[in-house]
Amino acid sequence: MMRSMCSQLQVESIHGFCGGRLMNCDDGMILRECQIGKWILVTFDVNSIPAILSEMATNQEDHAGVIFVSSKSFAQNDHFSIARALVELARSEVGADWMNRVMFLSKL
Amino acid sequence: MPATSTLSLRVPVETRRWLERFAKRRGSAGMAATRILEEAHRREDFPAVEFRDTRLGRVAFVQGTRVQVAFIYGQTLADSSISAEKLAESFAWPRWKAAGVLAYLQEFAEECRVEWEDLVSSDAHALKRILPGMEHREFTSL
Repeated sequence: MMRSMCSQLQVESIHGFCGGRLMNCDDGMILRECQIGKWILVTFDVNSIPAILSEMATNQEDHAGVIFVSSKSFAQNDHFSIARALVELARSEVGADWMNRVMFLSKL
Repeated sequence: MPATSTLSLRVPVETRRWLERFAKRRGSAGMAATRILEEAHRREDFPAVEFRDTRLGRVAFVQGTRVQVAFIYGQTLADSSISAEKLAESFAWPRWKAAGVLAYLQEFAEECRVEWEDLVSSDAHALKRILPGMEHREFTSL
């Protein structure tokens, strides 16, 4: 859906990313794989990822950026609204460096 | 709170050491063992669900996915008539998995409600305490 809204964006689900081998992996490993390929991680997971990011910051370990999607604002299967928010964000952030950036997306 | 009874176990020394390490983040070895048994019981009854560590402790996830069962609880609040077919279609899951998750929600409704409330209360303000540099983008026109 996102590809059809904005063809310049490269989007991959965790099912397809790295051939799907990260599906059941530790979140830290996913973040490290994202860092290698400079992929920004988009996630609803506000329970385990923040602690890992905090630990990475303490260890001065870089990540390629993380976007938390508010589960209060977006249903996890409301792909259309999530895609629209991400496309809008991407358009306002063209050329931006996402290294170690963390963003929380919500809607009023 | 369900009724409880005492069970003594004899386990290999290595298993006991593993349990004690596992228990470091979960209180006593007894509490950890209780949790492990409870999870094993639930996984046998509900193969569509598995448990993982989070900052809020052990939490139920939909098996083989990164979707917390509590998210589905939130969906059922928005649509109380949601069927296994509809859920399966919207997440591209097999029907047995969607039906299993709905059955789990019914059985552990109160626990899922609490986990859902924890999730939605993890808003930008709460996360900023853990991640002070986090930015917040709020959309008005979606």
